[in-house]
Amino acid sequence: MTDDLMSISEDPLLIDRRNFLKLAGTAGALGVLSTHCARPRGTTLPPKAATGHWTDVLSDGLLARVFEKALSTGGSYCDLFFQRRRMLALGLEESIVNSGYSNVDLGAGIRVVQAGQTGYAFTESLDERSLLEAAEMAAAVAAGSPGKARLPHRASKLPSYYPTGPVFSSVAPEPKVRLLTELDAGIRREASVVKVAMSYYDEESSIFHVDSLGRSFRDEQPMTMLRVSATAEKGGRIESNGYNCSGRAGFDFYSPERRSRIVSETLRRTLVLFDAVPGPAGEYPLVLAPGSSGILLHEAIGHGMEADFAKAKTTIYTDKIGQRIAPEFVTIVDDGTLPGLRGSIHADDEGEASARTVLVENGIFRTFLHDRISAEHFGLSPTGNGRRESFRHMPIPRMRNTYMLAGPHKPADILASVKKGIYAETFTNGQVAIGAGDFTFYIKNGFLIEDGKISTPIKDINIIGNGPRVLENVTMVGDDFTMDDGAWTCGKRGQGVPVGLGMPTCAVASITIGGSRR
Amino acid sequence: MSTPENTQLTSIADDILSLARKGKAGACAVRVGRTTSRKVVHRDGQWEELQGSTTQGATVRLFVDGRYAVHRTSDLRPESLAAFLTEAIGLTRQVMPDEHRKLPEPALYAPKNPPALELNDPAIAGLTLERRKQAALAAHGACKEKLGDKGISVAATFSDAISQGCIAHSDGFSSTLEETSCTISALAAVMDPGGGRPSDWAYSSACHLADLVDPVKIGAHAGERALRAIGARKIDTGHYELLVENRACGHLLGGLLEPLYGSAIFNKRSWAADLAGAPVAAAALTITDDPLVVRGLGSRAYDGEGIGARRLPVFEGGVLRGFYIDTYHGSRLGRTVTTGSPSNLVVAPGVADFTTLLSRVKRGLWINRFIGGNNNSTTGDFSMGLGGFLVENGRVSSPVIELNLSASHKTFWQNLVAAGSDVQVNSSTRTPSLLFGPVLIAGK
Repeated sequence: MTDDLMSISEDPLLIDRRNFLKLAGTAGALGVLSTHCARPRGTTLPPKAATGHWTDVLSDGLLARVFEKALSTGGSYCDLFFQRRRMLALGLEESIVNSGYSNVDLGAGIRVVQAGQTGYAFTESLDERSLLEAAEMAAAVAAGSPGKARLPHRASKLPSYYPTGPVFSSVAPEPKVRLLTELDAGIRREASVVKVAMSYYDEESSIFHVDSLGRSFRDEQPMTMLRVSATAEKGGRIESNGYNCSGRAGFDFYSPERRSRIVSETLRRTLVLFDAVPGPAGEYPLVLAPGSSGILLHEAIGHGMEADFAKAKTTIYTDKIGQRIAPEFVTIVDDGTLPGLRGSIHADDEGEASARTVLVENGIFRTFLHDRISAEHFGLSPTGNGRRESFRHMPIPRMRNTYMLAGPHKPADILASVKKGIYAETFTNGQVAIGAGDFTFYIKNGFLIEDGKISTPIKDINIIGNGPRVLENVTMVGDDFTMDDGAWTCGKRGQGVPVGLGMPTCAVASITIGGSRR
Repeated sequence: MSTPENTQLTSIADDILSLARKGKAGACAVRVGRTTSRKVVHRDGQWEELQGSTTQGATVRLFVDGRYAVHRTSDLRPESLAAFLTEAIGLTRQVMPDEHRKLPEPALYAPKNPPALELNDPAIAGLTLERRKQAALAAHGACKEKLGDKGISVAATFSDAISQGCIAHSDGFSSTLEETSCTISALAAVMDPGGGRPSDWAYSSACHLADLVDPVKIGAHAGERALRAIGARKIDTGHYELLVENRACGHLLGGLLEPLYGSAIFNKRSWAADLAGAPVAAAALTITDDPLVVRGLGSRAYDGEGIGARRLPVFEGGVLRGFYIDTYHGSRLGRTVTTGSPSNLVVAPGVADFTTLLSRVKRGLWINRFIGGNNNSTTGDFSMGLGGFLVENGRVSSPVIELNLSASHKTFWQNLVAAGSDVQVNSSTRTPSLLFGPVLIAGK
């Protein structure tokens, strides 16, 4: 089924998974992660060849035969996306690491493009018969005379924004188990904490992409994620919250500083809820805290600036290139080049170099985020945003790390400018309808602002606004830019991809706060 | 239900069980499945997507020396399975022992001959690319015609899937399944003179091809819905009655059910843990989790653990009755094991149809979609964006947008006035439209 709602969440359960197998449904306590397959390293390998790499079976001759089949009906472009992904997850409850999950995925996605139309098929076996079958399926999109791929392919050189290789499979399980038990002990030092649940996740994805233009690239993408849930009890009242963090980094992501931050932030975010009051309903000024408030950009403008929607003319930003859409101190970028971030990539999933793409420059809308197909449609260069969840999906324009640059204002002055309003600090998820432009994001932790000062905590309150109007209503931008390290997954057309967010302190003149009291 | 495909999957599951036994796993539960799916998407004169693939895999739940882990592989070649099991058992030994991790009580397993649920339609295997394209084109054409010159873009999708699977446990339980599904949908975007480009969609989904609604009707319906969204405005904050259209109710019901899961109760993230037998909702609310609906999209003979399908009363006349408790959490909490996951959520209909319910609304909102939002299963608080229509004295007056509902599930459902007679069958959430008394809605 198709609809036009795009979402972002730190909880994969909230991401639209309708396209997934019923059969993959329940996989025990860590079932949430079960749509990403993985299995311990080394077991899906075909017989060892010269270099021992899993792609060794993909000889130039085999690739040529697959291209020949894929282009046999007249497709103008074809690419092959080979991927092997291993994943490990560990779960903690009652202070013991009492569940594990492992998975290895191996397969190839074959795409044939003809005049903006896409044929797509994947196979989970890399033998010639399976690859040729998939190629034939993808070729069904075209009807014409056979084309030819340029071979041999030339490999692109990639930059280095994150470590590659066996960054997690070379780490024994013990330190991973210890990470969880130590964090648990740290959180439980607070006497009011009655429950702690945690999950640890790491992944190595090895990619080989080759296209009919004779280009290829290989990448190895690590990913790790930690999710903490804590429940505390005080005087008969119960509150729970959590803290998630993620990076495209190795196990050293869990530095001593990060470990203590995980403990202190989990506690701070949970314990403050005991003082929280219901938020107000109606239009109020909003001040966004630095960091994960970048969720506003992701929803209010990011999805609307994905070029597949511009091609279909369904986004509210259609025909707005070159126009002023925000005050001049607002500059917003989508950037896949920042070291170690969850949304960083060396190249996108169709081989285009990752980039820092300026979406809004000093308030002027500069460019949509493009994949190959949209770029070709508009006669532009791709921006390196053609991403996919896995070999099971075709690439489409997606964000990477989306953030607003620091502005001219002091955070204290921004707060002082608001007589009565809301300060939004942590978030769980958001959603947008890209045509109407209405978007929401859910505040888990926030505060009332009274007379220019942060006062009483609030919690569990949704904000709803209109993308273009909110941008016009940005009144001040702080000089305290902060990149968030949250475990954000963005959902679009049934595919989830990891993304990053960042933001300086920022004030919006007026937006609907969805509270429960007048 | 013994087809050649199933026989092959069953023999893979048996191989895995015997490898687990050789590797000294105390117990093992295997699910092996294969799904072939096809999808065509037509947008504005182009085939935006033609897709087709087969995915397969084995999920193995291992219990080794009191330790527990789950492993999955998509590589089902016999020569790969031995290495897979060796590594899986090795990894399982790395986690800590937990006596609560175990296979279900054998008495709970599905019977050898499960009820006939008619989840498999052989006609789907006979579909050709041409037939799929025709269905999508029919929906696309009808939608485009409905939109006239107000239309910007129309996308129509036909998709279908055929799944085979088997489940086998080291204690002797085993079963197989075959399921099909198909969906036709249309998404329409229109130009609003006010500057927006609102869109809406319609779809039909079923296990059997013959149960699908005519693509022409789906296309036209999507078009009508999108046209009705033109001219949406924001309205004042205030109290409004709510008539939640059937297909939007899933968003609300999901939050109501969240505290009923064993994991929420165990982690003290459940406001409803101790409310069994209490009137949490108004008498108009009766919800049954019913896995036995013939041709139901959430129907099943057994759940992921192999626990046999049984009807589970969740709410009866507003009184909370049932919880979703799997084997692990049942053992942890000392509660009766039911099932860990919902099947079909069947909300009992009332007698009034949608139009009648609408005519009863004095000053309220017909909510046709929720957007975003979340809920707190510890406290019951929830907050969700919404859109739809303002209703005054029983008549629709204008489309509305950018509104938000915040309330607590603890009290919100006491406000339920009536359930409609218009049950949607397009989804595993089989609910009619629901009418609520006045609640505070945030707007201007």
